[in-house]
Amino acid sequence: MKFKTLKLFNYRQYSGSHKIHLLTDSKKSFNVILGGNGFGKSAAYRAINWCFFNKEPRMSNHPDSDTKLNFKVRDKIKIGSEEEVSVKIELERVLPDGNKDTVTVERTEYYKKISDKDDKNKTPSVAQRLNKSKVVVSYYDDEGFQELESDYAEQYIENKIIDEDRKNFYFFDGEDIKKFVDDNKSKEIKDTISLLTDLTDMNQVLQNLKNLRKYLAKKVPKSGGNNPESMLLDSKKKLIDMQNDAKKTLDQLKKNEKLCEDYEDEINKYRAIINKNSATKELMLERDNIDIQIANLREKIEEVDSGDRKNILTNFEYVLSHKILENLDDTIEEKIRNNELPPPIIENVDAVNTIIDNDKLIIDNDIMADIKWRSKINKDKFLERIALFNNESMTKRNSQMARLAMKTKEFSSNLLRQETDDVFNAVKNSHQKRKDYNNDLKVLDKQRISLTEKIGNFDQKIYLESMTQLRKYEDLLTDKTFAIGIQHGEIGKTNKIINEEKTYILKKQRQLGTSSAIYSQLRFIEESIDLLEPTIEESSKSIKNDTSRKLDQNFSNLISQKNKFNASLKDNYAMSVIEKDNYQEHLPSKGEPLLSTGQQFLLGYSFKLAMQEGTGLYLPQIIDTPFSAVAKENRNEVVDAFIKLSKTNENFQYTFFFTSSELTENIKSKLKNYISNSYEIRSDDNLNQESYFKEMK
Amino acid sequence: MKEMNLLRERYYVDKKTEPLWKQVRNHPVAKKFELTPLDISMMATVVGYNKKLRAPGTFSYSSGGWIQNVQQGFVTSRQKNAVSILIAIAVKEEGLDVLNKDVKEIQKIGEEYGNGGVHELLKIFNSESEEIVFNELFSLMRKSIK
Repeated sequence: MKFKTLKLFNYRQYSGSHKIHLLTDSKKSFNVILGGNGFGKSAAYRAINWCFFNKEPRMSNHPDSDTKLNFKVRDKIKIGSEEEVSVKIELERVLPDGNKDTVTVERTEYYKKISDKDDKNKTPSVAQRLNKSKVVVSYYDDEGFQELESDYAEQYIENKIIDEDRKNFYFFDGEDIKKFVDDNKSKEIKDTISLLTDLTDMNQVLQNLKNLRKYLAKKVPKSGGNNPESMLLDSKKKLIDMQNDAKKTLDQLKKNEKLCEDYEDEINKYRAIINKNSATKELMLERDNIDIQIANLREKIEEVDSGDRKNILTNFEYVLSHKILENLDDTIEEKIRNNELPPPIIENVDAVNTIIDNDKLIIDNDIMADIKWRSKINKDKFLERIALFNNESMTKRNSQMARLAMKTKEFSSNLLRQETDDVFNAVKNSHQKRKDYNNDLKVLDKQRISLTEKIGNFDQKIYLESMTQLRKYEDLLTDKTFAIGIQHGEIGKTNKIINEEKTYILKKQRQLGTSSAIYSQLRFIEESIDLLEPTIEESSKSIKNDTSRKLDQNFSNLISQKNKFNASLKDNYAMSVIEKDNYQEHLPSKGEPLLSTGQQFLLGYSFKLAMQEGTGLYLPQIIDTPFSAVAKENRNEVVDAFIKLSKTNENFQYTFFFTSSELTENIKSKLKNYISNSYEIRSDDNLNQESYFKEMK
Repeated sequence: MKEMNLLRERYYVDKKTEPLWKQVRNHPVAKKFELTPLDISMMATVVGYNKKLRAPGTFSYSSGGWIQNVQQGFVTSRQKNAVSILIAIAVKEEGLDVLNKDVKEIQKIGEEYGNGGVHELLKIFNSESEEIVFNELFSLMRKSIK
């Protein structure tokens, strides 16, 4: 259903007849009506309410507030003259066959002027309402044009268009939403849900049955007597007391079981946090282990480097002088081979002398050879030459050159025993080792980076707090489980006594026969109450859960940060908004909400939307001053949400009554492509009593 | 065992290059690897010899380290190496007959190469990092055996 037109006649600020068109198309679901304070914006909003329900919302207590007749009109007419005020709304309705028809609702009041304006005493003209407002509903159906009046018209509005109880789901103002979220009153929410689902009526039936039971109970004989009926009554009272006690224990048991469930939820929650963080702890240990391995490898690389460098320093001068040392060695060696260095000495000259004298070579007492010396050999000369040779040799041997050469050869021979290849091989080995270690290091570094990424932002504080909380809830669960055990025992015991008492009562009743009709009636009523009470309770629970789910869906869909919050209705029906990441309640029962004003608006609207979905009706929506309680920086989010919503159903129609401060250029540009009709309310006189609608381009 | 007096007791450096020698001796690399003045002198000598940087001078500063300790009668293997290298350089330059000259003259030939090599050694020691210092030293070692 959509608004087609709104026509005001002499209604409050509007003198004479004023009509605006509100029909929207499927792509442009918005109407915008802009007006300054006092120009008649809220009056137009009230006019719609009045037309449907004969009530104007948020009216002041001013004595004149009940007079809807425009001031100017009052001034103009003569005393005793009559004038009418009316509001007429045309609605477009989609019929089950897909066709559309028009329903017109018009409400009228008549006034008679009884006094003139008194400028001296500054009192306005007074007009008195002549009768109750008259409402007419007209439409076409299969039988032609239909026109309903008075009660028929009121019933038609209530049953076929919108009933007053549900109007708040569709017509409201921004302040209402803010107040609804701020108050977060469980009773108000529960009543709203009950209203929607007819539980209110069922509760009323239950209350009537209870009243009837009370009335009948007064008629039964008094207790304490010795007659059988009195005794039966006492037994019944006893039974009721016991049943009440059992019910209390059962309630307590259920509460405890619910608490246990809550504790288990908490335990699971903290276990999840601990498990998650324990896994992180494992990863941290793994990383520490890698750090140790990295440190060891670095130490090894340092050792290799240090050894390598010492090796270089130790052998540096040797390797660099290797060639000249070889040259020195070769030079001296050659001299030695040439018997130049050190010069030879002929030793054992006495032995030679003996050989010459004896003419024989004797070794170990054996004659090895007979030597025939030539006669020309002069033994003395021979020995003298040997002595001379030996003297010259000894002189050369003691020279500086020989001394230096031989000593240096001894030193350099030692040095040259060392192979240069060994030095280079050692360096090569060190390089290979370092390369291997560096490769290992790279692998470990990669592992470390990967682990660090996995570890992320580990919060030690949350981990420890979770451990404490887990222990707390485990203790609480143990206590409650113990209490439940005891309560089960008590209930079992009480039920046994109750059954005994019931058997006794039945026996007594059989003995009394049908003497007491009152008991029969009471029994029937009690059975009915027993049947109805849990049904209401079950229905209420199921409806609450359903509404809670819808609230969460709508809120998640409307806000810009999807999946950040979990909105729900608590057991006491109050709304709750929990941040999923940290379980923080953003709508605390005490203190200010943590949600932004825009999110608060969207939460309140999500509830209304859940209620609308519950009714299954797509009625036009009117929102007066939508942004009055939304901070400027949050308004874009709200507008975006409405635009998104409007695209989900072509039957949606939104009419916003904006103040000029609300309809900023930014909001205007966002809405621009989705507006079907826009009007500005203007007024030509200072008292704002001749307001009119001016279509905006 | 008491050794013979072969060369001079100490390695002598030129007065003009002494500041450079000092920088090398006090260099962090020298300190870290506990290089003695003789180690440094011999490193500079072989660097100078390999790069043919013979620089004559007045070798009056006895700060180049002990070549032999005549008083103690003890010669270390390091000192023996130094003697071998200094004599080998002299022989390579002037033939074996050089050994008949005054030991001061024999030793001076090596010291002249040290005098030229100390500039190079300081340059190597002042490289950006220790790794580069040793890469340079190792590169010299490789070139010398080609």
